[in-house]
Formats: sequence, structure tokens, C-alpha cells
Amino acid sequence: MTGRPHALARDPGVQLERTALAWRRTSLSIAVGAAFLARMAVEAIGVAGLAAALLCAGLAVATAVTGTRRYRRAVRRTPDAGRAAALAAAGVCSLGLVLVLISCAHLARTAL
Amino acid sequence: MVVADLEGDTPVPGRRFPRHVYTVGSEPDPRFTLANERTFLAWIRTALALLAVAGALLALDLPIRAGWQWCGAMLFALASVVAAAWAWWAWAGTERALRLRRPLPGLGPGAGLVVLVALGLLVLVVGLVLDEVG
Repeated sequence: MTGRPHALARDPGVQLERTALAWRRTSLSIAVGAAFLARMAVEAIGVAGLAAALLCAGLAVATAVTGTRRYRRAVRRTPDAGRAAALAAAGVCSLGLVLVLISCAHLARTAL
Repeated sequence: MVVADLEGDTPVPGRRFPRHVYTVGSEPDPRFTLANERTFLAWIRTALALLAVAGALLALDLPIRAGWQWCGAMLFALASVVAAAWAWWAWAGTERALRLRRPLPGLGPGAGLVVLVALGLLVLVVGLVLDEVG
């Protein structure tokens, strides 16, 4: 094991950079989604909607920070994705759930 | 808790999350780990695209009968939640398999997403037709 060069040495920054960029554009998409949602949520379900949207925006920012920051000083090993991935998945899930709620609210109003 | 890194000589400081992934096996080739991450992000962007469709259905005035439009929006929003949850599940499962040098998990439940999307589209088509006719 000791004589084997580190796999990253063969592919210096490329894989890391690709992945860091992927995180960056995904975080941006989450942020855009949260902003769009904030506007719609306030109209449909008022303050609760705004609170949910702000939560999602917060998660998007957290995702962006943890997702991209890790790659600056990745020297001997790739940084773990677990925390950033959990934040991203949780962020998008909450955005989705808020939209499910808004749809239900609309449906309820239409039915009554 | 410390875990040895790729070369097996420098220990990894701190707790790694999630534990059920990082406490088994050994460090995989970093290129596979990074590829797994990018796959996860692709699923997340899929979820966001579905979210955009749901959002458009909620926000725009379309020639679809009201109840059906909200129903379609709900199905797409639900599909988005499924996609995001699946993204996480598949990432963790694949990372574990990489660490244990086992075969990677397949698409499996992720395919259920296709059913949801098809259902959503069906609802929209019916709503469109009903609005035309009614």
C-alpha cells in the first residue's frame, strides 16, 4: 500500500473541481427554488409559508457553504459528502413538502 | 472516532456523517466517491426540475380545470420529494457498497418516480381535455 501513489495525484484537480462546480450549481438552483417558493407560499398559506420558505433558503445557503468549501484544501483525501448531501436532500424535500401543502390548500378551497 | 484514510496511515479526525456509511469498509477510489456525489446532485437537480413544474402549475393560469391543476401540482411536488429522498438513499447505499467493495445498488425504487410523473402527466391531460369540453 505504501508504494502506491494517491489516486488523486493522477487526476490533480479535475475531479474535485467538477464536483465542486456541481455543488455550486445545485445550491444555486435550491436557492432560486426557495425564493420562488417564498412568494407563492405567502400568497397561499400566509406567514407559515414564509417561515417554511425561509427555512428552505437557510438550508440552501448551508448546502452551498458546506458543499463547496470542502474542496479548497482537499489534499490527501476527498472530503466527505454526508453532511452537505443531507442538507441538500433535506432542503429540497422541505421545498417539495411545502408545495404539496400549498396544492392541498388550493384543492381544499376548490372542493368547498 | 477516527477512521484511516486511503493510504491507511493518516487517521481522519472527528466524527464522520453518516456513521452507517463511514464505519464500514475502507476508503474507496476517490474518483468513484466523487462520481457518486455527482450522481446524487443529478438526482437533486431532477427533484428541482419536478419542483419547477409543480410551481408553474400552481402559479400560472392554464387552460386546465382547477381541481385537476392542483392535483397535478401535488403529484409533481410529491415526485420531487421522492426524488430528493431517493437521491440521499442511493448516495448512502452506493457509498457503503463502494467501501465494502460490493456490487452497487440498482435503480430500484427510483423507478417508482417514473410512475408518479406519468400519473401527474395523465392528470394534467385529463384536466386539459375536461376544460376544453366543459
